Amino acid sequence: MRLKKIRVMAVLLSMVMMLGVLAACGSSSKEEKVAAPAGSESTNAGGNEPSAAAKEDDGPFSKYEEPVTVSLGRQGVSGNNLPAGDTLENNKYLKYVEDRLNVKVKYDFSVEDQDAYNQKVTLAISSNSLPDILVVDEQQFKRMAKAGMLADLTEVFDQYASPLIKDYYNSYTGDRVLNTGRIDGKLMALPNTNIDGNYQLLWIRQDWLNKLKLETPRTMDEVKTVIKAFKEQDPDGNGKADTVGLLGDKSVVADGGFFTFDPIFNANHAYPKNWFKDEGGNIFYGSTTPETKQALSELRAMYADGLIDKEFLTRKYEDNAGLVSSGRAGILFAPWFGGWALSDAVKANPEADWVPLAVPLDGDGKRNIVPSTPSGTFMVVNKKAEHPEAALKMLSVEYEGIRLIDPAAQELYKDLGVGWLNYPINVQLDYQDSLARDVPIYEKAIKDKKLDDLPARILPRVKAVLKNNENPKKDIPAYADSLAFYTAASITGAKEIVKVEPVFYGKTEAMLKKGANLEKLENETFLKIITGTSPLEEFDKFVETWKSIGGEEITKEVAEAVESP
Amino acid sequence: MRSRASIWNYHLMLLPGILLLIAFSVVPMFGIVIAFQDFQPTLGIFHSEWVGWENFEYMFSLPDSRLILGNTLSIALMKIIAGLTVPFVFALLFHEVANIKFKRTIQTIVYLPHFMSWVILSGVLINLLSLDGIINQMIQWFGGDPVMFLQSNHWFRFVIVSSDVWKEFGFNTIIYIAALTSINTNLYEAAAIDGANRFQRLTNITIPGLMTTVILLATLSLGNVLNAGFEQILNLYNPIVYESGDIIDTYVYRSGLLEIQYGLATAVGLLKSVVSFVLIAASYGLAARFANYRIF
Repeated sequence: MRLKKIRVMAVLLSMVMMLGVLAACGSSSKEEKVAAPAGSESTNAGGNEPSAAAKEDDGPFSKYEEPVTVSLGRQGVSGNNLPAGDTLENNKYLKYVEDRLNVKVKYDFSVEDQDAYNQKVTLAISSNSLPDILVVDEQQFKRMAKAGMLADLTEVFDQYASPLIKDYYNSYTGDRVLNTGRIDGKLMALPNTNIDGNYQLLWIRQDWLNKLKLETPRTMDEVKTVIKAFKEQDPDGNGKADTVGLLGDKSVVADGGFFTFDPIFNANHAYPKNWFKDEGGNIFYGSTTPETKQALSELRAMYADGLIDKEFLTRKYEDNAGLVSSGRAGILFAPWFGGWALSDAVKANPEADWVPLAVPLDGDGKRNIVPSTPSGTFMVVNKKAEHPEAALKMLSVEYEGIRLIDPAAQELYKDLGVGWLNYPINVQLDYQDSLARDVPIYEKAIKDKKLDDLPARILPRVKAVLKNNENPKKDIPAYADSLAFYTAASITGAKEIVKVEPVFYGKTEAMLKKGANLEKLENETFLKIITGTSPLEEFDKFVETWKSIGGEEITKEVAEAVESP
Repeated sequence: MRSRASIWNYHLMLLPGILLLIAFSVVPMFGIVIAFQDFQPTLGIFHSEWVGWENFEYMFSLPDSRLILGNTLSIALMKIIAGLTVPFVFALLFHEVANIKFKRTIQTIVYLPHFMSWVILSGVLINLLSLDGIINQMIQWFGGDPVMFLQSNHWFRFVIVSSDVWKEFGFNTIIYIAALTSINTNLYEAAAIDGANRFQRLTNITIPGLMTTVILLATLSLGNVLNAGFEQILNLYNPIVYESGDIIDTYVYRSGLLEIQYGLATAVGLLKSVVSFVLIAASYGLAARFANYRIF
């Protein structure tokens, strides 16, 4: 009896308290300090509250009282889809961030080309005149940290990163992503997250396969047969021998690279550019193994037979893309997001039917892959920046927008396909298993045709898949989304996939100093062997030289780093 | 008598040039101390750690350094030789053309490439030289096998030198044409009266008359010997032809700007400057001796 009474009292009490909270919300909403996600549109007329209260509410989404200007250096976006009149420097996404945080963005520089951007960054580093926020690569990040140019983000991250952003980082096993931004335990940069499944798939023209009556290839030999047929049997039927073989890229292997030959190395159990431990506990570098030599000899034979595009060395990305869109290439390696690039070919020729495959398989019927390095780019904040927390706040707000969590953000450039890269800071964050996580959602939505209880972030994509299923290839952006997020993403989870985990990611001291020369030696040697400029035996000489000009030193450092993390 | 003041006017006219020289050529010279430092931008030139000859030692320990120096020298020398002879021969032929209209048209066409950047021209060249480009089609038409000019260490230098000549010879011809017009026409008339034929007039009047210009240009270009054409090579090369085409400037660009090795890049650049200085001094001596060209 008594117990029951207490319970009723408790319920009543809590109800009263809730009412009180609601009332408080209602009364204070006009002078709201904290712009809650949904309330972003509310005007902030406040400013006469005691500052102590402001401190208490100081979180990821708190709006600055006074306008704050933040300078950025950024890489521009090609084909950014912005409507006429809007630019990278002046668009609704920037305005959105500004409205919610009272942060004005000023670009110190913005260049489109990757090399030019890197130059700008290195110049900014060398002249010690950094913008407040920059996105840089690992080497640049380490240099800047060593030179003491960066702000320590440890506390700022704890206080100002939104739960979503923390969730993204937490989804990576063993804290492995956020760790790459730490130096001596301090968080000096916010790394991007490379989600699972960025390895290269074999993209192939199904319509060409059908035309030449070929089976879908699975093994390396079958892949070669298909390339040979594509090259020699005039699959486009124009009567000219103008189709090139497998497309290539002069970086040979690259994490998540387009047109690189990683899958051929992997099929030979070779994993260049990664660090492993052998059975005896010794650290070794994947580019120096006999398996790598084996893969090189296979590539060399393919090049000699004309199965690999003879001119891949003089081609840039656009040239390869041109070969694809003009229907002169029908087979290539690219990651799942290659779906977008390949949709261009369909625009030019609706018959082109690109399908992704998780092949070639090795002798055991497995497609071995090396999981992506946890991160490749890093958001760093200048030590001299007045508001280091602004970077985290901007990122938090950005991700409410990018993932369409905030209803207001859903209205920005609705259905125009304006890329998220137009937001001020370009750090890609997502759950480790984001591809695999979404595929069942697509499947269910396609089966039930029900869109009601889907999370907002995924809704446009599900719509795209449905739209494309109904009317294949009629709407190219929908086709591209469907090809990348659905078709290719489900392939990345194929049962043939075996992960080969490296023991070390990141850069050691000697790598920073000597790595560039070693990489040049490696790349040059591999290319020469593949194109037949040097004999295959050059590989053994490369291993010797590699060891003597710094490789041995780096191996020792890596071993130490692995022993005592 | 000429007043001192009027001479000062002339000296004053030198001032802008000297100021620019100081601002853009002398002041940056202090930057070479980076070659002896482990340069840290935040510490700047004054507080970075001194490392002595370490950057130079590392530079010479790299297998590339000798290769790069060799490439730079050989490409530059080939360019100088071709760059002197082609415009010279062209100017002589050109001089013999009587039709003014034809002359003007040809002159415009040949010097047009000079005004285009290597970024554009390299795009054109890559297309021309590709496997299905027009040059390979011609080779095949004559029964030859297609050649991958830009992926072959054998051909790459040849492509670099000949495309450089193609770009610049029209413009350099102007200097020779100017020199040709300064030859006294009385000489030709006198020779004609004496019964000299066209070829004899060429060998006895035109070529000797041009010789000072040739020697002057040749000796002056020696000072440029280590500038083998950064922009051109950067736009045309790829890792396969580093062996025959990588020059000091492209190397400094890659290691300094792309790979953030300031010390090493500056050390390589400094080496280039030292060698260039020796060559400029030598060429000035030669110019003074053979062409009577003196600044001081």
